[in-house]
Amino acid sequence: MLEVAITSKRFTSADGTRLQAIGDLCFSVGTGRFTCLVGPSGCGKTTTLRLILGLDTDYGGQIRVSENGPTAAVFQEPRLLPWRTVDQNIRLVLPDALAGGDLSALYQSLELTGLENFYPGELSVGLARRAALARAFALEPSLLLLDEPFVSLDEPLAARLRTLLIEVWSAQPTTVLMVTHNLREAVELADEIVLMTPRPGTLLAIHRVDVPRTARDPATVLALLDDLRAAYPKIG
Amino acid sequence: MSTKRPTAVKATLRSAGTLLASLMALLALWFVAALLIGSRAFPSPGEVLAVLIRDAVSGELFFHLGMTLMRVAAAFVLAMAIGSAIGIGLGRNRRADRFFDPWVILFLNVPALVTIVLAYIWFGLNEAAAIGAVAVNKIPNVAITLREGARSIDPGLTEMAKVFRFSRWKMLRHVVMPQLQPYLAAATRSGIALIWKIVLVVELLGRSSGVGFQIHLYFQYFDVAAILAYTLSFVAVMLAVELLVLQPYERAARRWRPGHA
Repeated sequence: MLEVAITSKRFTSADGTRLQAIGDLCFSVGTGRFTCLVGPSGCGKTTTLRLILGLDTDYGGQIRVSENGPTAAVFQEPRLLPWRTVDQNIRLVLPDALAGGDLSALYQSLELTGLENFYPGELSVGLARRAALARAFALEPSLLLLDEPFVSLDEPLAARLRTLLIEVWSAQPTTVLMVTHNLREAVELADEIVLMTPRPGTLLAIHRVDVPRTARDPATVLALLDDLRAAYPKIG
Repeated sequence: MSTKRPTAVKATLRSAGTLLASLMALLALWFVAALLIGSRAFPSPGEVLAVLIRDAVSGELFFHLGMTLMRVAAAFVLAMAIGSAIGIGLGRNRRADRFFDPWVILFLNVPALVTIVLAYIWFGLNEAAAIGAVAVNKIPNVAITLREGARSIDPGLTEMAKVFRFSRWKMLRHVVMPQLQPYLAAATRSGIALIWKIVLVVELLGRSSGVGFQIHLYFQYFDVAAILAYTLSFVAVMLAVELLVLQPYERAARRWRPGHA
């Protein structure tokens, strides 16, 4: 379970100007639930993830993570170690007991087979993003945070990776919070969609997607998307 | 990975070949110049070689080379350890850096001779004072290089390591050290070149062994052939360190960079 209750997050710029990035933002992600955080560019989505990850502790409010297992993150950039191969990068995050395990099935599903011994600098952006996803999945986390993981990938690959994400998520109980600005993607994947206002980001609404994931064919997704836009005209 | 090894060997051979040709040309130039000048103050390569062989047979050459090499190694290890610690500390803490920056600049500009003389006066004519004085001369150089290195650490990778709960050791070995490696290599390069020259001065002023002591001795006889014999043999030792230790290590450390060959 992830409980977020941020009251305010401010940044001070180099010339001393204070900028309010996030206002009141309260939501929770139940254990094993898949939630998407959606809002316009610059509304504080990435900042919210950083606060949850504990990378920034200077904020007002409270964030509680009550999960037993490890936390994994997929950042906007791949953040792989350039001096370690793809395989080494992935095994490095695993606890010693798992570090020697067989990852070939994971590599196959992410189409990374044969690239295990390449250095990240030798990979395209799309391949590096897949390696970053593989790193997060390999850990089998109980809390998984993703920051626009499918941006800048071509649509067929993004669609395959979305399917894979759902497979991984269904195979083991994982609490997922995914940041995206792609409302369609959110409607396809999420149990709940947390909508944020423009900066300073506050909670606009929490929208439940009640249609079971298996029934979300393209037509249904479009209909759900229309419903959502009708309910919250501000999100565009 | 195994396909990359033969190219590395070939690269080593090629650079060794170029080096050999270059040295032979210099030797030929020296030979001709000595022939033209024809003075005892400018001996030919043959005369220098004769001294070299004489002192090698008596064992004297290796004793003095060994003593100098020991001092170079000790001062190097000391300077790298202390200089890296100071540099990384300053690179990570901006307030400390602002406060201590004038100190670094001051020590960077103290002439080596002053440090050596003061060390001998304060701590006596002993080995610890000699090695310490050399290390103190080098520490500010290492510190400013590693300070740059610490500033260049990618915060994105540090955050990644934090999220995935890397242990301190994992963090150091896989995240921090690879980023500092080019800076350590630069400090090592310039460090070894600088240190061995300062060691000679230390030996000249207050030691009774080592290449510097021998050069001082033969200076009193105006024996240029012996001075050159000792200088060149130590240069050869340092060249061997560069070719057999530093360069292969750097090539191995660079192999992840695209287009590293």
